[in-house]
Amino acid sequence: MNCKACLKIIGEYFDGELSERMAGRVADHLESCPACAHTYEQIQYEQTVYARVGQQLEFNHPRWETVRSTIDAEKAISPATPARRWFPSIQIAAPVAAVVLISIVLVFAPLRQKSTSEIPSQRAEIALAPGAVATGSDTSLTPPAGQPSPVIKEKIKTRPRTVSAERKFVAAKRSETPSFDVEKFRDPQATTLAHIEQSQMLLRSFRNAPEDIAFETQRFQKLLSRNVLLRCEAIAKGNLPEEEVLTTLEPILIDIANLPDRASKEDVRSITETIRKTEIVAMLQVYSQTNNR
Amino acid sequence: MGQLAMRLIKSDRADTRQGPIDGTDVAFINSSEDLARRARSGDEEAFSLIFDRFIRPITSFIYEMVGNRSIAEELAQETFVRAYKNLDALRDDGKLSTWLYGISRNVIREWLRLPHEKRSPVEVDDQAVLELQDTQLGPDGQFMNKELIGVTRRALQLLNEDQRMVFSLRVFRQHSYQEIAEITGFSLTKVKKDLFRARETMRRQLGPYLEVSR
Repeated sequence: MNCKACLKIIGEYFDGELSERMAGRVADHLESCPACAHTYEQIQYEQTVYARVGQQLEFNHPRWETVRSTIDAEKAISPATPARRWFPSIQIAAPVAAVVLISIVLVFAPLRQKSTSEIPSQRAEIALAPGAVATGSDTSLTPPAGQPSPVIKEKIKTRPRTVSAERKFVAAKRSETPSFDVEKFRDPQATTLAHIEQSQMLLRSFRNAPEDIAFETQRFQKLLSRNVLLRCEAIAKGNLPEEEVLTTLEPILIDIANLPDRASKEDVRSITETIRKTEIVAMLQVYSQTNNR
Repeated sequence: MGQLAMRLIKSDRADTRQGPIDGTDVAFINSSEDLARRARSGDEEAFSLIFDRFIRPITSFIYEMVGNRSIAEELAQETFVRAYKNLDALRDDGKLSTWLYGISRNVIREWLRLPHEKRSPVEVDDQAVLELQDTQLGPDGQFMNKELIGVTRRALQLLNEDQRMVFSLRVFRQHSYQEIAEITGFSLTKVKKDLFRARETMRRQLGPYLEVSR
């Protein structure tokens, strides 16, 4: 082996990446060539220097709990994905459901006249049953998407129906009963922390890749409305640190939430500059780390 | 220590805080492979252990690539957020370390691809270097050490992205060429070539600091 060939693979030899045969040939050459042996020593010395540089610095690592809450917060502000995933199947299901409904109407139409006389007593029975929902009590509620409006519901209620249809109707009414608003019963401190972590995450994303997130102004609109509420609560409680953080955050959220669909580069740049100047991301991080402890 | 312990040491090369290996069962429970398997089956505690185990080496790797401490911390956090969300994509539990470095490589690349005006300015973080302490050296030695480290870190930023990544993974993190190829997606030939050139460039940049007297 000559020096040129040796120097080409001497690094691989040092890293132990050569085959046994090739390594043997390099070792033989190094024994007989002082110049190449010096280069090998050089690489060895370099490695000791790099080992010092490679010492791990002390970083301000987040705790896993903080990262986990960031993931949760991210999930919480993008709940639209599953609905979108089901959208195509709803498109297929709607015509199928219409066909089934028409068939049911056609089959039960001749029986309708006969069953009308039986219904009042059965309706009363159902209404008296424990846990039954009082009809007409929730007409003021806005119907959920895909549910009939209160006016239509009223018409349906007065219409005669079969026993099985009536039972289905009552079951549907029960399922409409509004559930408890869990948000209201949450720990207010935890809600604020989650909000601050969400804001931190989104602001970081905005700062690092504003072109990706500039169009997701809806997220910032949600954050903004929550921020207003939490800031008012903080003022009412006299919680000055929380109030300060939320007050600093709010103008930035307003700016991003009000970005037009096709925001100009100048608009986006001025917001990222504001984020940088106010050091809001660091402020949020410090706040969440301090209060998480 | 039997074969199992040896396997652990190999698979946990990046681990800087290995616990004592005093029994095969205990050692196996704490192996990265086992943690990966448990995390994939929904054990959150296992993922938190993975996080504790890899957050330092991953952050250091990112720091070597971006040269700024706070950005490295942000990108490391992003790496673990993505890892947690995509645990199902980990096909080989034995390659957890490679997989995590692969995610961090993507995160780094995305950040480096941002136009300059859209990302925070990057400067070699000298303050971080100055905070390094080597108590085994005297004041003069410490000064030289810090200077050398500063010069090396600045030289590192002069390498192109691919060379810096390969150099960092090999020289600082001691990954094998095969592992580097898996992490970066480069061919083995490219890994060898980039490493060779990176070493040459570093040697040229550091010049007098790396001279060995004959």
